[in-house]
Parts: sequence; C-alpha cells; structure tokens
Amino acid sequence: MAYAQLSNISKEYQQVKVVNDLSLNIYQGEIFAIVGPSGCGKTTLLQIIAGLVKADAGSFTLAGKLMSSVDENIYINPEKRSIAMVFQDYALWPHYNVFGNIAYPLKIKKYSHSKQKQVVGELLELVRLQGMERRYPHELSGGEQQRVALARALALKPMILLLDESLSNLDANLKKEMQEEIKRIQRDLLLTVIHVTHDQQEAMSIADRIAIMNQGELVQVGTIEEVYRFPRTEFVARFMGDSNLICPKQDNPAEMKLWKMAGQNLINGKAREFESEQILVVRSEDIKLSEGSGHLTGQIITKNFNGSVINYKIKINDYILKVQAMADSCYEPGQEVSFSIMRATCVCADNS
Amino acid sequence: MLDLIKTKECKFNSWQLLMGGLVALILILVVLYPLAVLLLYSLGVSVHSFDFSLVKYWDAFSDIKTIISIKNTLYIATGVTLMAGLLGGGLAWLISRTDLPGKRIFRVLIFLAFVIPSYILAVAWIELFGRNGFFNRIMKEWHFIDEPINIYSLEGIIIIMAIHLFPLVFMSLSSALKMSDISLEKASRLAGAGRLRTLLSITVPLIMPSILSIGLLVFQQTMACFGVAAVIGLPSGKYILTTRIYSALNGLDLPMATASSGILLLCSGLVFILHNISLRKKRYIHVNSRSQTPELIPLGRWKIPVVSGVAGILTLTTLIPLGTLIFSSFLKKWGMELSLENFTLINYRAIFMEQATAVRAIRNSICFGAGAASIAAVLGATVVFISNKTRLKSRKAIEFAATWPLAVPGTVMAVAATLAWINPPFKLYATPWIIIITYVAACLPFAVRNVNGLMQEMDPVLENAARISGASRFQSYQDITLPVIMPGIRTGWIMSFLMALREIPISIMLYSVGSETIGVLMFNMRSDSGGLETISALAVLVILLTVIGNVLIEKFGKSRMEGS
Ligand SMILES: Nc1ncnc2c1ncn2[C@@H]1O[C@H](COP(=O)(O)OP(=O)(O)OP(=O)(O)O)[C@@H](O)[C@H]1O
Ligand SMILES: [Mg+2]
Repeated sequence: MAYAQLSNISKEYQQVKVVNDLSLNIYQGEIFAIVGPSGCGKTTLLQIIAGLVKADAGSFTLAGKLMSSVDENIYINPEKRSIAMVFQDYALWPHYNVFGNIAYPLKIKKYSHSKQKQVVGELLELVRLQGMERRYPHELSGGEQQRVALARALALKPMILLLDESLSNLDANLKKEMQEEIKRIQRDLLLTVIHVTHDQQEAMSIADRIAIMNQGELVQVGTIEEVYRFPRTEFVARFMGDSNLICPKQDNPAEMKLWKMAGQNLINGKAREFESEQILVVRSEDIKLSEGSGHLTGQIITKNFNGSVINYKIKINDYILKVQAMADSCYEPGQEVSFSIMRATCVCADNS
Repeated sequence: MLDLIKTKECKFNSWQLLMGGLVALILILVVLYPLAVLLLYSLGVSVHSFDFSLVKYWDAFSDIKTIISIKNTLYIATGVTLMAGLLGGGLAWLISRTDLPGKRIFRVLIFLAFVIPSYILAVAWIELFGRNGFFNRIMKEWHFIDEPINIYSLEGIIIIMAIHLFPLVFMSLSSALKMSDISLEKASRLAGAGRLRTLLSITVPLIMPSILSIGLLVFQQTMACFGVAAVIGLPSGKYILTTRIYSALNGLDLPMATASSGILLLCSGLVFILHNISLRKKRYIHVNSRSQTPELIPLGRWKIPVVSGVAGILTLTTLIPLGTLIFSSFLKKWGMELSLENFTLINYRAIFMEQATAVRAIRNSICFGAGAASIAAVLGATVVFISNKTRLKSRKAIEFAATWPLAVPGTVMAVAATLAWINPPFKLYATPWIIIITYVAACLPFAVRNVNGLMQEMDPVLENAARISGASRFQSYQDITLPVIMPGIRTGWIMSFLMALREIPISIMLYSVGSETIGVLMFNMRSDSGGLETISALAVLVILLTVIGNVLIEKFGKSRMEGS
C-alpha cells in the first residue's frame, strides 16, 4: 500500500499545463527522487503535495488520509498536513535568528520554552550547527543556511520531507557531505523523503527510487538501476548518464552499421525483429575498445582523462561515438581503433 | 469536514471583502471626497446649486493676475529645476566619479541642506540678505556696497528652492551613477573616446531616465511650494499660484481660490503622471548588479579650484544658513548689536515654557503629526496588504487612490478640506480634526511607498514556509509578513511625522485658535516682524528633530534582508 498517493494531478498556469494528469505512489521510508529539466514542474508538484498550491484536478492521499481532492472538494490546509519542506532557496526568515527559525514550528505548537530549547539543541546537533543559535540568516554561509532550513523542517517530526533542489547551491564537497547527512537522518528518523533535483548524478547517489519528469509528466518511474539500465524513452536515456543514441538512418551507412551491431546485443525487447523505427541506446561504458582492425573501426578524436576513467570520442565516418574506458587504457587521438558493443537497449522515440 | 473547509475559504474571502470595503470607504472620505468637492465647486456644482459652467475658470483667466501667477509659477519651477539639476547633478558626478577629496564631509553637508525645511531656509536667507540682514549690514559697514542686496524677488525664490531641492537630485543621480554599468564606460574609453566624450555620450544618456524623473519631481515640488513663495514673494507683490490661492482664500474669494486650485492641480497632476511614467520606464534600464567600482577620474591640476568651489558652494547652501539660524536664536532681539551681552537663552525658554501659543503650537504639531502618522501608517500598510495579497478587483485602484495625494500641493489640499469639511454632515472646520485628516491624506503616500517596496521584494515563499511549519494564514501574516515590512512602516511613520512638523500651507489655511502648529507660529511671527529670533529658535528645534528622525530612519528603517 502506497504511503503517499498522487492520482491524476493536473495544474495549469495561463493555459499551460505545468503538471499534466500525473499519478505516483511513494512508499514509507524511502528516498524518492524526482528529476527533470528546469521548468518541468517539479516545484509546482511539491507545492501541490504540501498544499501550498491547489491542483486543478486529481487527488492526493497521505497515510490513508485524503489530503486534497478536487472531485470531492476536499482541501486540507498546509499547516494541517504534517509535511515538511526545504525550499529551493531555503526561505529562512530574515528577522529571526537561527534559534527563532528552528523554534518557530514548535512555538506554533505551543511547546514550553525549555522544551523548545531542548528540541532545537538536538536538531542543531543533528545538522552539526551547535553554537550558532544567535546568528541571523544573512550571517550564515549557503551551506549553513541550508542546514538550518533542514533542521526547521525536521522540528515537528514530519510524516514526509520534501526537498526542493536543496543541495544545488552547495559546492561539490559540501554536497556530498549533506547527501550523507540526509541519508543518515532519514535512516535515523525513518523518514519518507521526496527529493527534487535537476541533477541526475545527485539523484542517483541519494535515492532508492527515481522518477524522470518532463513537461509536467512522469516519463519513467523505477529503481535507480531499472531506470539506468532500461530507459524507456529517448529522453530518459539522454537524461541519465552518457549514452549513444543510434537510429537506423539509411543515408548514414556508418550509423546503420552500428545499429545492426548494437541490435545483436539487445538486452531488452526481442533481438530478432527490432523494426526499422527503434532507437537503440548504448551506454558509453558498454563499449569495448581494441587495437587493430575489426568489423568496425573509427578514429579517436578526443581523449578526456577523468580520474577513474577515460572518456573518448571516436569518429566513424559521420558518426561520433562516446566511449568510456578504464584509466589504464592507452589510446591517443588520431589512432585507429576497433570496438565491440557489449550491451544495448531499445527505447521509444520521443516524438512518436 | 467538507462544509468546514468551504466555510474557511469563504471566511477568508468575506474577510478580504470587508477589509477592502472599509479601506476603500476611508480613502474615499479622506482623499477623494475633498478633491471631488473642490473640483465640482470650481465647476459650479455644489450642495446648493447645480449649474455646471466654466465661468469660475473664465473669470480666473480673464484676471491678468492669474496669468501672471501662472507665468511666475512656471518661471520659478523651470529655474529651480535647471539650477538644482546642475548643482545636484554636478556634485553627484564629482563625488561618485572623480577623486575629489573630502567626499564624506561634502556628503554630510548635502544631507544637512536636505534637512533644513525650505521655509526655514528662506528665514535664514532673510536674516542674511534682508534689508537689515547680517550680510548687508556687514557689507554696508565696510562700505563695499551702497544699496543692500534684495532677495525679495522671483530669483530669490529660485535660489532658495534650488538650494532646498538640489540634495534630492544629488541623491537620485548618485544612486543612478552607482547602479549604471561601469563596463559600458570602460568600453567607450577603450574605443578611444576621451573622458568628456564618454561622460556626454555614455554616462549621461545611461542615467537620462533618472535625470528626467528627478527633474520632473523637482519641477512639481517647486510648483507646490508655499512658504518660501509667501515669505519672499509677497513683500514685493510677486505671486505664484500657491500664494494666489492663499490670498484669494484669505480674501474670502472662494471662486478664485477654487479655480486657481483647479489650475494648479491640473499642472501638478500632469507633471506627476509624467514623473510616474518615467519611473516605470526606468525599471527596464540595464543595471549592473555586481557593484563594480569605477575607476576614479583624477582631477589633476583642477583639484584645488574644484575642491574650493564645492566647499564654497556647500558653505553657502548649508553652513552659513545653519550658522545664521543658530546665531540668531541666541540673540536677545533681532537687529541688535552683534555683541556678547546680547546673547541669551531667552528665546528657547520662551518657546518651551513662557509663550503660551508657542508651547501649544509645539504640542499641537507633535500630537497632530504623531496621530496622523499613526493613522496613515495603519491605513497605508493595509492598503499595501490589499494590493499585494488579496485578489480584490479594485486593489490597484485602492493603491492608486492612496498614492495620488503626492500629486496634490498642500495649498490645494487645504482649500479642498475647507470646502469639504465646512458643511454638515461633516462639520469639522475649526476643529483640530480637519488638520489631522488632511495630514493623513498627505502622509498616506509615504506610508504606502515605503511599505510597498519591502512587500514586493518579499519572497512569498517566506509565508509558505510558515504555513508548512504549522501557522495558519493569519498567523503567517502576523509572524512573518508584518515583521518583514515593519522597517517600511517605521520609515513611513517618521517621514509623515517630519512632514507634519515642517509643513505650513495645510495648517496655515485650516487652523483656528487653539489648533495652531509650528508652521502657523513661524508663518505668523514673520508677518508680525521682529519675531525672527524666536523663529530661529523654533527652526533650530525643527532641524534638530529632523536630523534625529533621519538618523532613526537610517538606524531602524533598514530591513535585515539588506544585511548588516
Ligand atoms: N505562480 C505561477 N504563475 C505562473 N506560472 C508559473 C507559476 N509558478 C510556476 N510557473 C510556471 O510553471 C512552470 C514550472 O515551474 P516550476 O517552478 O514547477 O519548475 P521547476 O521544475 O521547479 O523548475 P526549476 O528546476 O527551475 O526550479 C514554469 O514554466 C513556470 O514559469
Ligand atoms: Mg523549482
């Protein structure tokens, strides 16, 4: 049974469908990531879940309780939903200091002052900000502000925590640290988390399951591995990781050849008669390079050393193939190589 | 449950409607009703008669005095705009773009010039250049001149108003220069243009919208000036529209007073609308958000002459008038010998303790000002709330009605109030309330504008964050919105209060025995003559309060968002 259930949610702004007939189930205790390009409606979706924006259609159930339903004309105000949210730019109140910001939800619930102090102290310890109670938001760095926002969101032990690109303003190291922290907190408190981001790398490193969103619709939902290995559409394939998309183009013999080659190693669909319309996806790490001449050869045009791996671009007549190889491979630009495709998946074209 | 939610939504909507209705009603009564009565009366429509005609305007225009006063008004407005523009603009450029030394001191002097009310500046100039003024006396004693300099002329008004208004130009253009994109100027220099060429073809065009809008504001403010025009112009029979309205009302010539008010309102309104349009245009100008520091232009061999010039001008505009006022306020009697035994504190004792009218006037000004500022602050904040946070159809109209008084000169407001509140059902004439209500109307724009900026800057997400934290809608307004806009409310309150301390035309035309204000006191003392030493003491007091007020704005009017 889904813990949070969105059914057929739609929202329009000025005749543009920002969220389009969207349904989604989220289970208790999981970190669920929603990724998609900027402007695809992620924030709007979160706000609908939180009750800050009213959907035009559809319903939302949380822990078996109907939170909003357009058909039944039910709408629970955001303050009654026990959902917490860390906003895209934190939304710390400038006129309260750190203590005031974190204690506000407790104040609303009429906690005694000593109790407030105790809870805030615990939260500050949780987000590692002890001793900063008296600082005002403008006296904090971006990362500290973000952790205050997180502490504030956790103050009332919410049923669900919504994170709206809350890590996107942090530098790489801090981001990693915060990801760990969120995971730790989530495990400690058995939280259900919905994490929205446009960075697929970030989503992959934090989430249990993931949904790819585009233009107000969910294109694919599944575990990280599923979505990575078996992208359903061209859009998902492009969005997740480095892939080569290969179309059966009659006027490009090299690509046609590649397509046929990839088709023999198809891991989904049927290898037999993948028809002329199918687009094939080959991950850059699923290609193996070897020296000398083989069935298909190409010339290396760029080499990009990236620590643990090396990224090559290989030119095969008119087609540029992206290949990821081990760091100990030693091909140089200009060199002729042959290669073989280990694995390929077929996806639907976006405009079909 | 279903019903419960519906009623909640309804409750908010009906509450919105109620608040909107109430505010609209007050605005109609305080702002629109008096002006409507004035305009209708000038067109021949009143409670007693309904014969629509332009006869009052026809009569006004066939009187040569009206034509002359219109001409004079336009003449001084143009003169002041040019002079204040050159002075303020030049100083702004010198201080923000060149390596002029002593910038801090110059800024303080300009700020002090801003703080002296125009009427008080005129008094200082009379004390200096009047027939028996210090300057003329000294000059005569030393036989530099035979005839004393005469400041009782239109040019005298221009000089005094220009000195009063140039700090506005300075502040506006300084911030425009600070925000305009320096890299464009650098590009021009790289393209081979000289400094002067760059100034004229890049810098000035870039800030042209600001120049235009501040120029229009100065023009409008000058048209509305009353105190200076009265004290400088009337002795030599030089009328402008405001003083013409005043003497027509004094002579109980209501048709002339209303028709002249109509004309002045039209001119002022027109300029105000142009000013607003220019402000709106300004928003689209590309501004530089990363504050780049400009490369300061070295003055080189011009340094000494420029510094002495600027110092000389600012001494004349600020230090000498201030010094004169302070000096005179300690004199036993105006016109006495300038010697040590003629110095006394008696004037200060008089205004604080002995002279009953003076004590009352100070008390009245403070009470009326504080009362009106408080009413305007609450009303203004409510107006801003309605225009930003509700979905009422008339919300923009409400905001417009509340800022419109900026376009109405105090003199016109006073005539309108006289007509509006003299008859039942609203018989407030000859009570303090008529002054307070008119103050409220005059203060509303300050209250609205100062709060509006903060409210529009405020990210609605802050309220959402409160809702998510468990606060109801009203609670989030109370805990988050109100504190965030509070600095604006405070600033608006102080500005309103200072306006009430300094203004003359409203109270001089609406006061009755017992409701005199500082403005009335100063204005009347001047006509009694021989009161200059007491006026000076009052002036020093007003200036002191204004400085304190501005320091308070500086200190508490800043929101935390702007950082420390
Ligand atoms: N209050 C609003 N009024 C009108 N249009 C809106 C409003 N809020 C959002 N939109 C529009 O809806 C679309 C989706 O906005 P949303 O904020 O949900 O995007 P997002 O996926 O969160 O993007 P980002 O990654 O940039 O935060 C955008 O095109 C935006 O312009
Ligand atoms: Mg967003």
